[in-house]
Amino acid sequence: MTGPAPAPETFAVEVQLFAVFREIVGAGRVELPVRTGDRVSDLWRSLAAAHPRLAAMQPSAAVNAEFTSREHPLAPGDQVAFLPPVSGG
Amino acid sequence: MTDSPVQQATEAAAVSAVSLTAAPLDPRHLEALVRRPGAGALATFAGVVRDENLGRRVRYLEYEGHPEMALSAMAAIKVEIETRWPGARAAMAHRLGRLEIGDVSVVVVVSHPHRAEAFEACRHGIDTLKVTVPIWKKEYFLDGSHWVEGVAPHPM
Repeated sequence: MTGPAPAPETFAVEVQLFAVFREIVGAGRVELPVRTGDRVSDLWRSLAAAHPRLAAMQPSAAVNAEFTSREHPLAPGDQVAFLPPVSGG
Repeated sequence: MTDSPVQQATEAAAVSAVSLTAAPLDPRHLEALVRRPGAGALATFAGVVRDENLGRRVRYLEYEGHPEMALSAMAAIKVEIETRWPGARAAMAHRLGRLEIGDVSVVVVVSHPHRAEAFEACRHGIDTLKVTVPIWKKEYFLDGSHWVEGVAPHPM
């Protein structure tokens, strides 16, 4: 019993999708498996591999409701959101 | 003991200076949040659903948002306006869901002692809202629908 338990090799993160992304994926919320060390960009790549129409799109990413970069490392419990270009007003 | 109208208005501003709603928007309600004796100018922008876009007849619109992030981006605009134009007070609201032609989709109000700053800050508010707030608009035409091409607020 020394130190924290090692992080699991894979874990699930919740991904929220909006507007055109939600329609392409067919759900506003999905759980996706990621590996320890995976970054936001890896998650987008696997989503785009499953839904090729996403590949041409320009996402903005947020983790836990804060905008973040593609390099952001994912952690268990993270809630990720992929946002299409905005068009409110 | 009853709060004075000024205290009530101040409390209302604290809770609803930025808001999202599925209900019809009334610019007068937002104006009441920012009016005060020292503000000689009150600028109101209301965005209204138009019946055409790029030559195509629009039947109606649907708006969708990321509620938590949209509210936080709108609050950031309010803070930015009130910092950049000292003496300004700002409030804004966006409607979500299905909107018909002529419905008000967004309202930005700014009060300031003087009109030049009120106009300028209000213009800045709506311009910034359109490119930073996570809200999306879908246009429904006679023969189909599409999500309006927008601006990436924080490209990956």
